[in-house]
Amino acid sequence: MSQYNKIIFTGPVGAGKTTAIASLSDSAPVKTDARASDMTKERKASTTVALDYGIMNLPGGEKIHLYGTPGQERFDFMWDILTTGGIGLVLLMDNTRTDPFQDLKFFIGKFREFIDQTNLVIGVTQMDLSRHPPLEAYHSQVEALGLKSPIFEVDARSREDVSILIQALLYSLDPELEETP
Amino acid sequence: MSQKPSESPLRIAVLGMDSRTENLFRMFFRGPCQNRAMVVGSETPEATLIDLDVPQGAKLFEQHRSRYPQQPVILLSINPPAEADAHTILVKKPAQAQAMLAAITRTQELVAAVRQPRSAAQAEPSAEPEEAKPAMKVVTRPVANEGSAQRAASLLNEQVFKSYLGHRDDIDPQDPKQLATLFYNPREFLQGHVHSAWEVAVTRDLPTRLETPWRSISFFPDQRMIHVAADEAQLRAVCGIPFRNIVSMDVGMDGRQSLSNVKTITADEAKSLLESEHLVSLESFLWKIALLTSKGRIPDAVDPLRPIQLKRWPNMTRITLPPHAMRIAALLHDSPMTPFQAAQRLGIRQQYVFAFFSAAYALGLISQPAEGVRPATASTQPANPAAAEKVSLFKKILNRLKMS
Repeated sequence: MSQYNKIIFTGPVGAGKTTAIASLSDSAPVKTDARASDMTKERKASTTVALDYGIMNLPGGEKIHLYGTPGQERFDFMWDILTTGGIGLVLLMDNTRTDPFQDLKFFIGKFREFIDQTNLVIGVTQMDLSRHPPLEAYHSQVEALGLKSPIFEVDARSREDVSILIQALLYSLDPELEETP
Repeated sequence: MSQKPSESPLRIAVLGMDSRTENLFRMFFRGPCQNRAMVVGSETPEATLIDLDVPQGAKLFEQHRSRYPQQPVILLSINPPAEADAHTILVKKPAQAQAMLAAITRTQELVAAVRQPRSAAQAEPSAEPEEAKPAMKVVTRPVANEGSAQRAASLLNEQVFKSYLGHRDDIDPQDPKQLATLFYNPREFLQGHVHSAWEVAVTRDLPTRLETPWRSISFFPDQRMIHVAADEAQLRAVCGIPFRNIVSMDVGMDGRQSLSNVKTITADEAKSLLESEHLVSLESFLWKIALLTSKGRIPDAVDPLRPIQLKRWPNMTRITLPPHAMRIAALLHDSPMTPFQAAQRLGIRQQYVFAFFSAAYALGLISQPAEGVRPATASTQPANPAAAEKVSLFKKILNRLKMS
């Protein structure tokens, strides 16, 4: 089995990591949510305190493991462990946050080594609620950090949206990939 | 003997879960469980799904069971109890689709078994007292607004592309005669009028309307939205013919009237249009009309023999994707090359690259690096077995994503 068998989902609290994994996973995701007790509770009642986990079954019995990091910074000691063997990083941003670009810089900074070794795609959620900042502004921010990444508007509940995001990740890694096995 | 289960989805209530978890199961039932079950809210459930591992999970199950001794319950747990009553089906977490499907089948059998004796004694009053109906509040999150402004990606496969936009043979870039057939002038089509009007709207920074004998098109620079009351087929038709011709056909214009007129919109009118269902995002509209107008040609202002590069990926989840769009985007974003080289590298028809290129050009996403930049020509082949294994895995993931 390939040693590269994980896709990592990260992003701030409420960006849709758990939902995105659920929309791709072949099994009901394992969640480790708990009642929010800190500032997180202002955004939602419960939050992921360890990680989310889902599986995509591939032909031939191989599996792709989908991991979602907890949104809270105090669990970031787990992130290095998670990324080992990862194919790439899916960063989900919540466009209704007070300062999404601060989030963007934080997560790119925390995963920079992993991103440089693999690749990054960014999905911006909640754009139906807030069109600002627009995607162009995200591109400018990411380019200022020395990266060129696909950035799409995403509804984490939409399997199609999340699928396109993952396809962009794979094609960014190898544009000449074909679908045929 | 087991009863024949119902073929309609099993109606399941969830107990002790927040709305997010409930939505996860909604998607799990809809996707991997092939719509064999559905989460219900106010409708009477046929069964209940309980997560035993949540705080108070055991207590919730106990209370539920004492009120509904015969209602089937699917009980989820990382460590399910060794035994359960006849109406409880245990599913070990993480719940795999196969295990859940088996639990759904078993539950449907139990539901059918309970229904049969009841229907035999139709006059018999309900076994459950009215007040014994589930005392749970199921909070549902509204499904995403599927309004046109947030429309999802539309994928054109090769067949659909051909039927919409026709077929163009590959050409020899060294043959001037063939090369000359490649170009079109956006200004002769609706596309050019739309672009000019958008520029006016941005300059004025006000809602603006483009009035044409065909339709009115309204522009909202703040929201980056466009309003046009035309369906897909009407848009396709108007984009495919030089604008002067279609206007003449429609209104018998003899050239005395201008083809289009740009006006500012009043605030009241703008407010009303912004609430309309015909609102689309600027980016997806410009992309689409460029695709429909170009039909796999390129704007005459571009030199196709010089390398081009995609500056940024377009918003792929909200636009119409021509065949191989993701591959073309990745390749042109990665390194500069001519459209001909891109088609060759990807082993696809030139028309697809030209269509993508024209749409991306309309959004200002294409750059032509200065003369002297050498286009990338070498194909990236896996250098070692580990890389080859990775490529093979990626292909499998892509197949899996595109199948589902």
